[in-house]
Amino acid sequence: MFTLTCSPEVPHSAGTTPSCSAAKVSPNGQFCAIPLDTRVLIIETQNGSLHKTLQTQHTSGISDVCWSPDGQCVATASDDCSVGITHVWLYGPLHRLFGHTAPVLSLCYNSRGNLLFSSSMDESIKIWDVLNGSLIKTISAHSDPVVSIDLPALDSSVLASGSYDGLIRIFDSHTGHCLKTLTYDKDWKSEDGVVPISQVKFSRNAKFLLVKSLDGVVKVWDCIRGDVVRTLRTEETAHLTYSCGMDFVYPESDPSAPPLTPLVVSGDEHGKVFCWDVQTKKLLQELDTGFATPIISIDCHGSLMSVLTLDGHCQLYKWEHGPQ
Amino acid sequence: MNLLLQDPFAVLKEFPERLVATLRSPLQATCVAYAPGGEYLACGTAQGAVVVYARDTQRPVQVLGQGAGAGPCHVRPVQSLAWSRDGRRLLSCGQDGLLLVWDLAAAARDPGQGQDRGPEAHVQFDAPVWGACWVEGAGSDGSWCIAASVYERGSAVLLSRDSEGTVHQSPLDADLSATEEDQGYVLVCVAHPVHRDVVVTGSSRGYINFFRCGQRAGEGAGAGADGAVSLLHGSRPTTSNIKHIAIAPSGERLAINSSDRSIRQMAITWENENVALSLEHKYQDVINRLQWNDVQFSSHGGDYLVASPHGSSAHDLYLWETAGGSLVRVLEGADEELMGLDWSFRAMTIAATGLESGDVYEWGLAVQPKWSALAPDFEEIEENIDYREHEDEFDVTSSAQERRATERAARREGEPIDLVTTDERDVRGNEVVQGFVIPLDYAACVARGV
Repeated sequence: MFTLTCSPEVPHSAGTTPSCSAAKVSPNGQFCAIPLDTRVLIIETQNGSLHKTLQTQHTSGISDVCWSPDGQCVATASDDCSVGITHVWLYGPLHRLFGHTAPVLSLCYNSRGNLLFSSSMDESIKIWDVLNGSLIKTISAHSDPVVSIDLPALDSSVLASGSYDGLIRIFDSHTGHCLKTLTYDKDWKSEDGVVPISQVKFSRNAKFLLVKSLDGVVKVWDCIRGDVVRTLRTEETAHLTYSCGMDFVYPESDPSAPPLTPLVVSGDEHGKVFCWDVQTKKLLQELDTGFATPIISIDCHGSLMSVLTLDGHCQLYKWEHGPQ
Repeated sequence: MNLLLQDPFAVLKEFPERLVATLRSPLQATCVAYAPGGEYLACGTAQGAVVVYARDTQRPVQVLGQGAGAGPCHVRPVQSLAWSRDGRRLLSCGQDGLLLVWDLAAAARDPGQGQDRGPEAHVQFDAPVWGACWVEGAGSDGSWCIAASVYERGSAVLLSRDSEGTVHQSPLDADLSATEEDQGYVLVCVAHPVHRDVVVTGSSRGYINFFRCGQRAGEGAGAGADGAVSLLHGSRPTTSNIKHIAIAPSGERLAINSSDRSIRQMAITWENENVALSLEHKYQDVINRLQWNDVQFSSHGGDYLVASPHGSSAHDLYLWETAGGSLVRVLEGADEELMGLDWSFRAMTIAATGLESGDVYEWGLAVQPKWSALAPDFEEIEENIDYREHEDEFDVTSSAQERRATERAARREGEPIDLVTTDERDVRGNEVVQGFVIPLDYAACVARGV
């Protein structure tokens, strides 16, 4: 069961509702980064208190934030078509990366932290050198905004992308060649056309890909064989406007006890988070955040889950494995 | 993982085929060494600095030994490099007699120090150091053991660092001088890839010796085993200088490059503590009578052998197949003589340094993009196919077929899946290890921005 540990305050000026986009837990699990306008709030996950506010050089809102694997920097994707890299602890803003011609939507580092991948409304994916801020490669293989990209934390040789054109593609992150397209006609050509993909996320061993589409269905794809191995859906069919967040959860257990099975969490537009056992597809928990607004982002680290609603309510949960 | 999704015929090549990259730098590279995971390439330079490149960006991630007044650094060309097994430490030997051990994690420990960090340890000899190898990688207490061959010394030197950080020196010999005739100077020392505490040395008069150092060697010698060395094998396969010794990763094959213009390939048989060598092949350039600059085996059992020929007219690398001893490939593309080389098995690349320019040339596999991956219902064909419509081609698919497909999909939904366990070996059979990640030097990129 997920239990609420704290609800960090997202400050905003009185009378306005903040528009939030992402809440990401740092690689060591101690902090959570939440972009707010052109700032990034660094919040302690232990007690929810605000640790630091980073001012970025962006001129419009930030739509995604990503921690570098060493936990030193955050990269920010902004609507001003640029990507920023900010050193959290010492040096402040390091780079602003220009090259995209439309708002940047999603970011991901490789496992060594020396490459940054960004995807944009301009339908391309760009690869940047983190140290000197130069553009290394542009991958153009989608025909609609690329809303989500992901690289496995352990094996950065592949990159997955999901786009509003309904395609999930897997690329070789070094050459930029497309290796596989995970779609089959039956599935993505529904009656009313293509179902846009809203989020992709690799499993820990990079062999499976968790995919959420805007019809609210979450699927686990086998990347090698290219077929769906789990379909997780809630009872009502939805036509989502927002991605609503999803992630794998790998609950931490006693080293002596057998490892717990991974879970999948997914949010909906009415402030609820659903949690499934990925093996049995059993719905384990239907968690109500208490806010009837769309969940905009879910990010998990070990047993910790951060949930952010569109109107800026952040909640941190902890998974405790109780007797079923 | 990317290799699993690529064309198996393009990926499962036994050796690199074409020049894929050239690393140019104002510092002239004299020797190269790939990190154990293949993600970094270290270059020793004629100016004394050691540059570590990230292979994916082709740019330096660390430049070691360039800071002013931050501990000792090489003032003469770097002679050889060796990575520790975990990829965290790098060993460099210079013609100035310095042997330096660099801890690549140092940037994370003192942020802000930037490039002015000195080496973790240094040993100054009174003569150039030919080469060195790791006998025992750094333990958690920071202790390690290194064997080095130094100019005009009759035995290799064993350097061991204890947990307090003091480096002890002892000669690597086991009463050789008493029993044998003069073996000349030790020119080469390499660690055995499987028996990790075994060091193989080659001398200027063609002698080759296998020493076991460390704890197992001392078992017979009783208490106080520290620094004990036992001789496992000694022979004289050639009468001239042994310039290089390469051992295949499986530890069953050895190549000796000697100045009599030939490379001898020998099989190593290991029975308890007895080592025997038997000659398998001898590689020579019979027409030009070339010497060889460097030699290296391919992965696993060493099915291939690559060597760089000496001489201003030779600009290629020669690659032999070791079972039959025939030349299978000449790696072209460089326009100068090639010196030091290294083979990365995980990345399937060979790097070699150019003698004149000091550039680093890298041969690899050029995997062609698979266009059919962009559209799963398209098929790549070698040549045009005469299209003939099948009788049932546009029939509405039978319900039985559809049912089978849905059944198959439903079955897949019930199969257990493993999201966590990773493969132990990659498609080429190399062990998958999470290599050490060199911390990024953010201070340097701030300095550049100012």
